[in-house]
Amino acid sequence: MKSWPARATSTVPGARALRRSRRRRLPPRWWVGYLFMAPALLLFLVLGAYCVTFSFALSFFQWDGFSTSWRWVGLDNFAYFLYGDPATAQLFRDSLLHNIEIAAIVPISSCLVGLALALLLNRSGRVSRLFRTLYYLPAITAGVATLYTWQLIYQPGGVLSALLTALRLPTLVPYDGWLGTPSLALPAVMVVMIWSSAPGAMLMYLAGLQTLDKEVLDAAAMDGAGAWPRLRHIIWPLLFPITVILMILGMDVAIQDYGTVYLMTNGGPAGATSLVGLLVFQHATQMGGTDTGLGLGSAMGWTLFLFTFVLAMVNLRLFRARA
Amino acid sequence: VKRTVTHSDVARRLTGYRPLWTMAALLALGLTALPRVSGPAAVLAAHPRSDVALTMWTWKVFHKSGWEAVAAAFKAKTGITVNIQAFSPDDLYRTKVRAATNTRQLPDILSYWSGAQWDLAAAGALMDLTGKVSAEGFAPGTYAQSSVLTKDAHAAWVANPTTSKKLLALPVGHVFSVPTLAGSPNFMMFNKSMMKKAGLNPDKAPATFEELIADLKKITAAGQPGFAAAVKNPDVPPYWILCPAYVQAVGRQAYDDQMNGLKPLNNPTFVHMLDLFKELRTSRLWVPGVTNIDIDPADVTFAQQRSSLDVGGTYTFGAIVSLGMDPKNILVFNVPGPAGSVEKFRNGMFSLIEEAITRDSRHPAEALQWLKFSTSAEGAALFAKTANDLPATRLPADPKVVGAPIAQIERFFAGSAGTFTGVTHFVPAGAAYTLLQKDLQQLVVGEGDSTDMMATALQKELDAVNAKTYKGQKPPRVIVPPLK
Repeated sequence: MKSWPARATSTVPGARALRRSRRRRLPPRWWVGYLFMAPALLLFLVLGAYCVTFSFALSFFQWDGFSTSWRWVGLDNFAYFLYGDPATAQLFRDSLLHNIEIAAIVPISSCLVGLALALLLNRSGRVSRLFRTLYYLPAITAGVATLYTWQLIYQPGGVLSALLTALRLPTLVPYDGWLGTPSLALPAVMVVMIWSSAPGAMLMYLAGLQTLDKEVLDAAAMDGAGAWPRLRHIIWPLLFPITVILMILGMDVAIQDYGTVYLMTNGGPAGATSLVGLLVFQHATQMGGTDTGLGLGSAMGWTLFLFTFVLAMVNLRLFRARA
Repeated sequence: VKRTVTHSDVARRLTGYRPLWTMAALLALGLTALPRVSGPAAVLAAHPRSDVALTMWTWKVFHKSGWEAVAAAFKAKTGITVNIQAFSPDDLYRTKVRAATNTRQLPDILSYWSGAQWDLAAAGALMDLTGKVSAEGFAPGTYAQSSVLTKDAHAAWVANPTTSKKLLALPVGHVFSVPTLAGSPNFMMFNKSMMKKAGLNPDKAPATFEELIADLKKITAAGQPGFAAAVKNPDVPPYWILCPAYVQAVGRQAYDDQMNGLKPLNNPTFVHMLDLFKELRTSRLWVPGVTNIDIDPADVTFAQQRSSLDVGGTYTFGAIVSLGMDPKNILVFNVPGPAGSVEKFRNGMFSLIEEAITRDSRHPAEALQWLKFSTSAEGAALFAKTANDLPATRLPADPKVVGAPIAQIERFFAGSAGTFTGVTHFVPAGAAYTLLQKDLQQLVVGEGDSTDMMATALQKELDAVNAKTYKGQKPPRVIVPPLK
């Protein structure tokens, strides 16, 4: 019988010396960095990784949320909302379509509004500083209170109705208000989303504009380039990496966020603003009991994740190629 | 060479581990910043004179003051402190209870939705109260129907193939909770002064759904606001308006058979009911923007005279009165059925909220004392007066004892045997119900298919749900008990 030499590597001449030299190359107190990373890593492992694994596993089970036993259902949860149950499948498809609409419109609009504001405010002076603060306010005040304020703006007899009536345009006022009319509810919600995300885009563009080489812009101006050609051919390409980041982050938020809709319309009227995230929330928290709620919600969540992941990858490829 | 260790050497060595010290200091700082554990020791420290401190959870924020008043009286009698904690909204509470069940951190006493306590009992989270509590003192239609696991309820679980084994393992006749709050949904409330202004008799409730529509037409024609219901909550149109009206139209047994999928739901009477519901929109009887009104805002709208009609339950009445509306200005009546209804009945009181002792309680004996006191005539009357809501305990309809609003509700239930509808399938199962919710919201905004097509699609969905649940077999028929 052939015997394998134990710790064969140790017999190689110079191996010990090599290891010693590597050890020597480690900087003093090399572990300090790891030590500082440890709390965050631990937090992620406990809260992040645990929850992700738990939710993934749950999507293949049925669980009432209380008992210790889970019932294996395989891919039934996925099949249920993808095609198994006609009403649920229709609701899921409608919700996903709303998510896509939001993901297509909100990030682009936020970037456009943010860039326009950044160009306007990219100058020194007190007034400019004041406006920078004012325009950034929605980003720091956006929350439950502002969403309720928007509800008051949109409701019948609200600020918007009063404004249109004062402008002698009462025919534009919908009977049930903007949030109560199915065809207008989703656009109205998207306006709020753009309003709250545009200041962030503005701040990033403003930071980008201030790092641009002024000499390039001056040279273009001296060559007779107007404001629009300078924006199109110099500023926009130089700010493109910022746009990439904003688009990817914006799409991610647009797909994942359901809080705005939850507070403003609860997915209504008649499902006109329902989103996949809201369905996940409703199944996981409201149905519960002996129902399939938690497993079904998890399965929906993972389907949405898959969709977001593919979209992000495609985006990244497209934008990287252009950048 | 022997070397003496100096102070500076020690200092150098210690400073060499500076990052470690920094880390330790940060961790210590983080630990001190953590919220204090609110365990029994902490509670006792806050109330040194009490021997025992119990914790009770509820999700009804406006009940907190009522329970605190009862807890104060309980402490005066027993020295036992009860800390009332309210967590709102409902979904947050459900999630909190689920998490606490899994981490074994439930409070001593838990309030939970009546009927849903069985899930907690099946998970072993509740103390078995069989033999420790009794039906004595509770209003008809509460304890015997909701707190005791009846044969009928168990049989209904057995008939449903999706019921978990743990739920089926619960023994018939056992008790895991007692009813604390009772009432009934399906009440409508008219503003009497608005009825009078429209030339209507403010003391005459509409007898049929058609009359209700006619009354609303007169009220709105007089330039007054219409009907504000919580349409934003998708449960409200079916649970509070359509189904209670339709169950009277066809009778309870036929209704159960239809909602159970044994008889066709796409029948002319159901389509007529949908048409009546649709007319609320076509005649512009809803207040504008009703689809964006939730339960509490609907009550506020009514209390502020911005709507002439509200729908809800006994709890709605309490909320409206606590918002400052004069109870004498409210005409309370049951949701009427359409003309030609087979049955007409009055709603009876039934249990809405149950109170249980959890397996995590360290003081089950004291918790049982609290359970008995809080559901006694003394405790319940105190709660009724303070929280303006209807306890499940039998109480006199005396304003001095229970307060004026609750006395009015008690009078409404006087003589009732305490059965609601006795129907097991109050709404169609699973996704068919989701479809019904969507259909009704579409009718409120004046969109969607014709009512004929809605009924047909609903039937198709219900058949699909049943085929999956019962694996191609017919669902078992439930015999609806007669009303007493």
